[in-house]
Amino acid sequence: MSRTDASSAVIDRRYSEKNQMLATSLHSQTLEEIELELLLEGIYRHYGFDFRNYALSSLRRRVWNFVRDQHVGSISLLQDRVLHDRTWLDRFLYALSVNVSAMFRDPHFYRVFRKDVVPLLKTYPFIRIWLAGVSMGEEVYSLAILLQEEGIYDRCRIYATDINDAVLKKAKEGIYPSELMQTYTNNYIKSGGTRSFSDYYTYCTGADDNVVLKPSLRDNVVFAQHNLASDASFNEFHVILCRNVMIYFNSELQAHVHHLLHSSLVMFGVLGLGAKETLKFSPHEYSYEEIDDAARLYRRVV
Amino acid sequence: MSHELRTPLNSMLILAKLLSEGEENLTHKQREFARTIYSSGSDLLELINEILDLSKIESGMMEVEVGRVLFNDLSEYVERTFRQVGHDKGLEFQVHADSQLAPGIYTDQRRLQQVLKNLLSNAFKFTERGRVSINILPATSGWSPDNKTLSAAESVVAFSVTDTGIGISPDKRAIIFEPFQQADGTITRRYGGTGLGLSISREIATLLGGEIQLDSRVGEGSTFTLYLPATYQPDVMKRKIHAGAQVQHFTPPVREIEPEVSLIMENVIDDDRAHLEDGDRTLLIIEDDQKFAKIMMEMARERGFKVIVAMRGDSGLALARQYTPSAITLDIELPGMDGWSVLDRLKHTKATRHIPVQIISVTEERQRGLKMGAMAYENKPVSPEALREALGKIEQFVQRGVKSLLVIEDDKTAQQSIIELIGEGDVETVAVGTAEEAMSELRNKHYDCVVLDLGLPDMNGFDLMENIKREIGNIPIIIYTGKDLSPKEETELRRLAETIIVKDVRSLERLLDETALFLHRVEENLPEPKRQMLEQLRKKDPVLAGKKVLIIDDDMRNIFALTSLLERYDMQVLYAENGKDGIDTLKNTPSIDVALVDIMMPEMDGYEAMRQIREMEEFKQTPLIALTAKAMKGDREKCIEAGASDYITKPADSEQLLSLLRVWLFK
Repeated sequence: MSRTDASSAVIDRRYSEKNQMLATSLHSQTLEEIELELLLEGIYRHYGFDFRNYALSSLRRRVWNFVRDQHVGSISLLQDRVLHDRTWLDRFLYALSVNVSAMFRDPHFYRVFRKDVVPLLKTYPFIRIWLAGVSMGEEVYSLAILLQEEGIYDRCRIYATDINDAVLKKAKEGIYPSELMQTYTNNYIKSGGTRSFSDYYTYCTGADDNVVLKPSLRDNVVFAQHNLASDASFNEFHVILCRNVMIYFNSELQAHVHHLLHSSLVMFGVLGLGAKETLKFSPHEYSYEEIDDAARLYRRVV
Repeated sequence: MSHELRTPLNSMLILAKLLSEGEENLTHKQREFARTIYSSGSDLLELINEILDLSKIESGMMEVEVGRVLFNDLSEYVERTFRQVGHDKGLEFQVHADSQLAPGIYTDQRRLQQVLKNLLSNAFKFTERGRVSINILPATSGWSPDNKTLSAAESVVAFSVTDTGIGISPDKRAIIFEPFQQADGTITRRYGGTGLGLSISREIATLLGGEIQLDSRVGEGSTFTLYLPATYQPDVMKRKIHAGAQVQHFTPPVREIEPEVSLIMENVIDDDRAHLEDGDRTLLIIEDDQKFAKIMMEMARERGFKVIVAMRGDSGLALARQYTPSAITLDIELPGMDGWSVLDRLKHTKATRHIPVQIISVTEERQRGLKMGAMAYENKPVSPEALREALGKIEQFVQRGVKSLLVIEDDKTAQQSIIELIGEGDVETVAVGTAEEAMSELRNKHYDCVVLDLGLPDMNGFDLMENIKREIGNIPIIIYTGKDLSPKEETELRRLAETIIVKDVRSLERLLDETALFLHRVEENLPEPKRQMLEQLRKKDPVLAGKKVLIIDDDMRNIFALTSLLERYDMQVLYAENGKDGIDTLKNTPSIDVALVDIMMPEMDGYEAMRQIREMEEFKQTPLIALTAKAMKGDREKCIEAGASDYITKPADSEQLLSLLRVWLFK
């Protein structure tokens, strides 16, 4: 057999193998999975937002919640709305990006941050902090309060990013329902807060339903849109907190984000993850040493 | 294949040498046998090398590495190599390079040397009395008319090797170039040698675009002339491709997952892992050739090392992590995990990255090894001397282990605490209190790292750092200061210092970590100096040269990198760290030709900055190139809408950025 004959035979064989694989996978997927894939693919191709590597289970749940809330008949019908109407996309994105959080959530984390991380930060003349995936901003203000109380806020520059502009706008406002203040206050106290939580907010004029956090907390904060899946490193930081964001990603996307975070962190800089997240099995497992594993705080050493 | 051939020979040669020279009680006859084994082995090795060379050339696999070869260097090389041979044989040896020659030739130095060595070697071999000479001169004729390459070449150089030896009769001239043939028609090794030299030389000559001509008279002598074009032309060269030659694909080795603990138990060689004590100097040998490993083990033990041996890459890595040896010797071709992966892992793990690694392997990838952080590289087969030398180097390294740190701090208490903290074990710390003493120390002695307080009595820290960089060169400087620094000061300092530590409760710990990082980094390759690149060449580009570029970005790494890149092209670089400062700089600095604008910045982001710039009449036409980390669909449009002339994503590819700049600066 001549060389060209041989290679085309190989190609033919491979092609038919691929066809077989495709055939099997088509049969093993449910209709729902197909619709979901098509929806995400459509959004990516038309708008550029890439949710294709988000963790399937949480994504599916959110999509269905949205479909039901909006009284749309099916995921395919949702796809029709989203692709043809920008406002539908914005609403949909918003629903996907809002992550339930609270101020001083995981008080242990803030305790350890105060005790073990702040003294390290005090050895730097200027401190850059990146909060990736801030959603409604609860973590931003919590950290700002902590840094003010520890007396290093003036040296800090906090970059608060999120994939969604609309969500960022809300975070910038710093307005929260007043009924949450009791929980927040408890969290604050457990986190080792040194003052009174009510020092940091005032009631919105005209209504008792909402409070607004003190604007001075925002002085050194930059809010910017950034997509962890597609965007590159935009600076070098002494602290990076990416908490409860990666639980929504599949392992491939998680590895990608870990790489991005590692390359944006100075040597001996601090990385903070969410309670249900881990460095284990990530490509950078050995690049960090533990500051406090329970608080998910790590220090880059490699 | 070369691995399989060279490895067993390697052990045999070393053992034979050791036997023949060693102190064991051998009879004279036994030593004689050992010497014979050694010389047969050497001959075999030479033969193998030549066969491999020949097969490489014939299958079109021999690579040509072209570079400038100076005739002075070449002359020195042949002098050096053959002076003694000539002297021993009582022959005159002359080396002559014609005065009309250009200074050098553009070809593969190694291969050229190989051919000359072969020709000279033959000349000396077949000459009993008289003279051997080599003459290098420009040539306008002498080669065969159907050699198109030489005829078409701009200039041709001839290397003529003449001897007054036995000569070759005309009918035998073709045969001698055939493998293994000698002029007397036999293949007996009366005159020694493998019989392949001329075949290879002829192939190499063709490979380099030339040919070898022979002129000879029986009983009077011979002249072999190598003709080469002065400049090697790759596309003109005809490579002999063996019909049906397979093109080999290099598949990078697959990264192995963590080895199981059971591998650590694998212990075929009786090494010292069970008897290690604190303070022992341990050498970890990662080598799959049991015999060679044993040889190295004996030698290392002689020098007072305790030795651990691993015969697979993965177990080697596991043992390194478990025992943190003082040094490691590493083979590349290993089962389980190849040596490159092992080296990579070792250098990327905190616990092992500082351990000096010596690579001893058949592969010839010295540069790659050194680049990846190996301390040194030896090619197999390695002679006992070379091996001893390698171990000696390791020993020296491990012993010297002492790195030196200079602390420039005027406060006595602070001095004390730093010395106590860092001066433990393998770091020799010297402390001085003034800039003058500091410069004096640095001039007289080698230091691996400097810790500098900014508040010195006789000179301010900035000036001292400039002096150090200028006079001493690139040495890592860590600033340790109680002074309050403004953002501008911090930026200035970061250009010259590796890092800045503010004196506080935990600062001594950080000082320890950061200095450790730099003291150990010296063993691997030095970090690229911030304002200098390895190639110092200033590139000439008329479109870019002399132009003023403003970089508006808060990422310092980017500013440093771009400044280095653009200054190489003679551009004048200014920078600002946010939109507001950027606009101010633009307004206050005359004739800025182009601005690179980052998007994500504090105070004022890139979009806003560009909008405002475009509102000003005088800057409506100024090229603004958006530099952004954001890579989503739609981000480009956003930049253009805000006023960008063009857009490039971070991390910016140098070539692409330069192209963009050329486009927008072209008038």
